[in-house]
Amino acid sequence: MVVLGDLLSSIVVHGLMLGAIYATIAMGMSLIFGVMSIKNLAHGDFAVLGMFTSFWLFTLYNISPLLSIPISFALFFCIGMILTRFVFKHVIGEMLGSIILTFGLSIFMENVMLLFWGGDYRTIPVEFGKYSFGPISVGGSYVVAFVLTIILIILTQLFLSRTKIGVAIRAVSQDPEAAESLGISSNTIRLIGGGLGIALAGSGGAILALIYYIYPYLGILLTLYALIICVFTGLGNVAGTIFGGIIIGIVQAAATIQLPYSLTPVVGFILFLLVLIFRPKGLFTRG
Amino acid sequence: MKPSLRTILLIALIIIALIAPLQIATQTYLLHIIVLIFSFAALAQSWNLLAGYAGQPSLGHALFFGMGAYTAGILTLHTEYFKTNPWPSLILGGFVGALLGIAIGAVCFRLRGPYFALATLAATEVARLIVMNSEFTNGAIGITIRVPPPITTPFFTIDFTEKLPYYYITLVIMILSFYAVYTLSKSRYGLLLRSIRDDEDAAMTLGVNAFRLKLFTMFISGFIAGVVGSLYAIYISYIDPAMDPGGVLTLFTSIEPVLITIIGGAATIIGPLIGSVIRVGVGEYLRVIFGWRAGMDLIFFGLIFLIIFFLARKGIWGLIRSRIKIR
Repeated sequence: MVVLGDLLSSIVVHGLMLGAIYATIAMGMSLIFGVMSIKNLAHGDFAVLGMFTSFWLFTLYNISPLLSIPISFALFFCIGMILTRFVFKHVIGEMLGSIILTFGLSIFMENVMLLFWGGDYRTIPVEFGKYSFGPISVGGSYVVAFVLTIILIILTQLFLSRTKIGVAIRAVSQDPEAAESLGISSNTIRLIGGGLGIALAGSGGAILALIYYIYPYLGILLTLYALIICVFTGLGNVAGTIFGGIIIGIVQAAATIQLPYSLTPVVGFILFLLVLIFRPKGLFTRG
Repeated sequence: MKPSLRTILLIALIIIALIAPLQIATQTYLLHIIVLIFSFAALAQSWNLLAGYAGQPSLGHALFFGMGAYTAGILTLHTEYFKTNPWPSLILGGFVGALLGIAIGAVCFRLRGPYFALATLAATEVARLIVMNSEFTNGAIGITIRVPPPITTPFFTIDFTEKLPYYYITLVIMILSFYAVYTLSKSRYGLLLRSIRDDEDAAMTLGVNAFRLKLFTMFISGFIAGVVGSLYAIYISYIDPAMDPGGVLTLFTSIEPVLITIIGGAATIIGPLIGSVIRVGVGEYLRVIFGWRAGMDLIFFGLIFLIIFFLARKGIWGLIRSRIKIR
């Protein structure tokens, strides 16, 4: 029993850490949904692109994967702004249009990555030692990734709640017209929100690259996880995504005890369906 | 009564469609593409009924399509009768799709718009993962279906190793599904569906039973998709649950009818056919050109799709219609 207990707690800890990273990616999706009402089905692909950015910076220029997290944040912020300005702008508020557009983008991105970099599973060969917390031992890269994720989430939260631009982003999410009438330029805010959303996906991916396999078709799975998390907490509810991420991480990890590995996502999806049916506005909203 | 120009045109088209393949019967590749075009046009039409007319954008049509395919697959795998005669599984596949449609609808129609789309997507993923991990369905290996034995009549023999029989079967199924959706959309029922699409709350205040109507639509849509899926499995003679793209239960298959309908024009009868010609035709053409490099064709298709999306938001038929001012 003791062994099972250790195994369980080890799995829960790993699930929690993975879940936190999913949460960062989902936060970006939630943000984009908030400011533009766009469900970005290419979101996971940006995270994968972030993973590849980290991988190539390390392989080609020997840049530490820790340093490439801020680099990819900046890079994907620019990409996100460009994308918002020239692509997302056309489907703001269109439910079906945005799904179709971003799915087209997703096919395009996945296959471009496949074409250039092939379908191999890659990892970044960096070691951070091993840490033990009582009976549980956790790989150093997990700990580093978790700490970085928490820092990223806290910074994003501070930005959204304490700065003028952050408050404006939330205002536009709640009611673009009222925000406009108060002198907020919703176009500018959408640009920043879109940039930040994609930047969170990219840097989340760069963190994920520390502990996960990198391959082009991972994107769709990450998108689905992000969607699940967003629905758990209500689309557009940025603060809640961290809880959604942790729930999904732990549940998926716990499922590996009973189910074959390839079947574990089922648990997440079933949970997702249940939440959708019984609490369609999210777990953490009233009414 | 004098037949209208449209009827004459339609009958002429059908006659051409019936005679034309006899001329190109030796060009199997061309016939193969046309069979795919017809199948996907019918699948897209089923999505068009649900999303275009009733405004319920399902992202789970792979579920109906794939389960239709698996009906044929499982029956031929586990029973002797269906090994020699898989054709009843078309109807059975249709009913499996329809029942799944009702089940999914009963659960998911509490949700609106984006949430409905996500729920259908999740349901499909659940089904795919279960099918891929079940012994009963041969798991990730998929099911190979034997070519049906030839049917001999006093006058001719139908040989199912050739493409020609499939051409006629898919043509008939496509015409039936198009006719069904056309009749429905022109009837009172079609009007009610549009009222739900445009404003569900307003329609319900006026006494429209939206839930029941949507369930019925799901039934029809699931039925068509199931039949097409079942036929597709027999035609391709192999069911692959996993490969993306190409697997019958993948998200890609769910998106296929969406792409086709949007390219051709949603909430139009002819739209899915135009979309299918472009999607399958261009898709196959790109695959031939770029076959040397995996994924290259999809990159170009993604680009073409984005361009079409920006140039013609109402689809190609919508564009044509606005230009030449026909109703």
